[in-house]
Amino acid sequence: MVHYLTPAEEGNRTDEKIEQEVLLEVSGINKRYSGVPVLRDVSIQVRRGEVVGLVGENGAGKSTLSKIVAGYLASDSGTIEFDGRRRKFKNVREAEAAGIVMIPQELQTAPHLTIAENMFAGSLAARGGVVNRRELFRATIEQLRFFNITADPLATLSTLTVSEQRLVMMAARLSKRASLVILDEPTAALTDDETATLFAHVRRLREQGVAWIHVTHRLDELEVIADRVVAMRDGRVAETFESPVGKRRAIVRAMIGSDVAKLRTRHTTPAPANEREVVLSLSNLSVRDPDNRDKFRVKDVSLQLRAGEVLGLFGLVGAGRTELARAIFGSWAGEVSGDVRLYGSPWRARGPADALASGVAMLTEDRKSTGILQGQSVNANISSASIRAVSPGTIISRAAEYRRNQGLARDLGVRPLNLRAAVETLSGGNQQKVLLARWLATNPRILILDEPTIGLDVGARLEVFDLIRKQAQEGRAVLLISSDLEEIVTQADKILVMYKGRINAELPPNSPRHEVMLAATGKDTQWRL
Amino acid sequence: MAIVTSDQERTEGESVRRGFSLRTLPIDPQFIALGIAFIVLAVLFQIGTSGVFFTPRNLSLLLRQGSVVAVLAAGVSVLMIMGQIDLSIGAAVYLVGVFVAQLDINSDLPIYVLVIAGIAAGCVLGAWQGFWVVKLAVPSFVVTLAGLLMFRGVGWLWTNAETVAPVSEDFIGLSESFTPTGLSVIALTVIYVVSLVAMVVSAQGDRKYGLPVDTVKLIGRIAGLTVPFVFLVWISSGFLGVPAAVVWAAAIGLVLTVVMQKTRFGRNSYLIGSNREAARFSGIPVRKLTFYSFVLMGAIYGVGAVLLTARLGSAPANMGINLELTAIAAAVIGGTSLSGGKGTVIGAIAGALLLSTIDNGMGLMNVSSFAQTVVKGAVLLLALAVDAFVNRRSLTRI
Repeated sequence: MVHYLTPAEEGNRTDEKIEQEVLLEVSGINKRYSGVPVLRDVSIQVRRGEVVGLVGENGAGKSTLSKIVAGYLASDSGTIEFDGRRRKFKNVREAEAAGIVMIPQELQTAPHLTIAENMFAGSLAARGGVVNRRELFRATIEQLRFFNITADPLATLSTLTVSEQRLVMMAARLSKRASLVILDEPTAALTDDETATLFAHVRRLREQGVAWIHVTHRLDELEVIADRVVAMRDGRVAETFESPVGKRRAIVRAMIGSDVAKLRTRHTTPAPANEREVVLSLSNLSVRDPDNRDKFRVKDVSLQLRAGEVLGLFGLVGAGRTELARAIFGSWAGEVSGDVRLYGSPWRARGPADALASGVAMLTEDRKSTGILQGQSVNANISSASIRAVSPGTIISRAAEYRRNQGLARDLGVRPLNLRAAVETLSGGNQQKVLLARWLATNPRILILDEPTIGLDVGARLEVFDLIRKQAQEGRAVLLISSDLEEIVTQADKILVMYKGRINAELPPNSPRHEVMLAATGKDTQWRL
Repeated sequence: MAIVTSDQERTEGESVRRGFSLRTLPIDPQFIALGIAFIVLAVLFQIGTSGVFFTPRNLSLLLRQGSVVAVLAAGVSVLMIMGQIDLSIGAAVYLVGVFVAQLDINSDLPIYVLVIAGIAAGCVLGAWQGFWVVKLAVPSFVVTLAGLLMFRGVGWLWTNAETVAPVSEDFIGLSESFTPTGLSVIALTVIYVVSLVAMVVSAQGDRKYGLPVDTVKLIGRIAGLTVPFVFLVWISSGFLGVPAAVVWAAAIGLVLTVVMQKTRFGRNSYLIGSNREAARFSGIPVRKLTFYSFVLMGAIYGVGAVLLTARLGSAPANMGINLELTAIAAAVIGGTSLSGGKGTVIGAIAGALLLSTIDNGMGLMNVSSFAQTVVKGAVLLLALAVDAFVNRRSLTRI
């Protein structure tokens, strides 16, 4: 068990000079995505040897800002000064050559190549086109030693655990002589111990003058690692906090702004809870990572889902909300333990078909990869989960199918109302309605909606909200999973907030948004080792 | 991040609108291209052979030549629609061919038993490959590549690579006999009228149930039925009658078309092919249906083996070499996508006929078989280019 000093405890560190020297000066950055502003007049400063936490809601502009600094994106206007020089990076390579390295959330790896080759992909030491194996070996050993990883550089990457792989790839990126490192949600996939290891490395490099931008939702982690926290909101820097210790509430407020709801609030009265029948109950449900058995994606979650209610499950990246939904639906690849009861009797879905047969339907988060059936008609997309219901025999009864689907599409307001159209020709909002129709066609008693409005415009969002409410009114139990604060606060009858795989808070509908966000960023949890 | 996503949706919507005109044609543009290819080739060959090409006698031969490939292309198109592939076709057809030829030579079993035995043997081979693909998750490319080597190897071990010959006259008749001319014309006319009435009645029924009826499509279908009918009547009345091989191919084509267009299995096959994960999330039994489709392909090996053995009058050691490539090429030319989810059985059969037309016409013109191979390759390339051109949008998506 290691105890790390918080920056506050460490207090007056030496080398005041290095501390003060500004390494990165971003001023007046603007960025639009086809007309929609995502960054407005953003200015931040990073000093040498400093760890800056960058926080904000989804869509606040953290990722866009990081990508602009790291050369992945160009800004529309504004300047970047780095290491005393005005810079305009055309691509990642230029930024890396200057000493800025970004470590994205998902690292691209080639699991069947050696550790050394993975670490130095793109910059293999070579002489005349032939890889210099000896030099490669030496450089790899050097990097691994720095990170205290004992591994054979010539072993394939897949022989390491997932988190080791991550550390190795980070080491590789850091080997590019970085003076500024941007970490995007680095700890979402790591266990606490692995996070501690990572933080130890961050500290060590900081001592050498390397500066860090740490993009995260986890405020408890920032308390121990960050010297300063920059909170973003709606594409602007809302507030900067010197030393974040004990300022969580203030930071959360800065992230979400005032509590004025931007959307109309829920118009129905909250369902009279507790009297309603419990449809699904979970007790102590735990879900393990399929690749890393030590990592719990969901830990000891208990909840009750009642008929006619919209139960909101809020969580940010890495909170475990999708994993929980998949575990219920039977589509999680890893190990699931705990007790699940459906109408009071023990139940566990062996797979999606099994879940659907029991009246549990799930709208998945990723519309493209697990939702729409590209190239097929709207009609076939709606029927995919329920063709048996309209055609018990071998031959499809087209008329019965068509009538049922046409009715559903009309009720949900699919536009254009043409069942023959290929589904991908519809807008995102209408694709989502088609998918909703698919699940309603199975006549589910439980409807799990994972990020139902992701990527939709405001109008489509409101339509989907109405549809969700209607399902609850018709007696279905709805589990609404979202990382959208607005959505969860206005649409849910009860709000559960997940943080690091656990339920961290249970809140009433229309709760103040900062309460929800506070719980989702680690309210009251202390980073301990 | 949310903003970025909605932005992507928007640009995607716009690009869809740009590509609208071609994608929303009532008839698949690839079918039109196929029709044009047929007409151009027919005119060229008619001129090049000074009139020999377009005679009932030659076209009857052309159909018999094309039947085996048509049957196998129809079968492999089902697998391809599901997102699988089969490289073992030629070898499997050889092995089953050896089996039925041996049975025919060494036993007194009636012909229909031989056919059933051949189909059953094919199903065993199909189930074997399906087992590896489904239970052990080995990619079908690899499983059937192994099948390509193993099946032929087994056949060679069994026969010592000697030709199994000669099969009985009755057996040869399975492919090479003809229905009598008069009966052929009457039967064809009955089938034509019944299909026509069925089409119109079904359209009327749809209308009654509130299903929108696409008139252009209906007319297209009627034309698609009439043109082959007219040709078949002309060919069969002009030369001996309908070849048995053609009856087989037509029957397989009809059965598989019904399976793919009308049944739950067919519908689910398309869905599995277009997005396997989403199909699984819809509760479709992906693995079970994939296994079935390999067994179905196995039955097709059996039919193909019987036809080819009958046509050759024996089962030689090089029987069916490269047949899998011809069948896959035919399916692709007929609009089946290699990535799954798209294609029709009829298209695959049309593709097989196109390849057969090229073989036949160039053969008549005394073009070397080497040059024929080049032309067939070019046609395959052209067919894919047409497809890529029509679906330009998918290029940018990769």
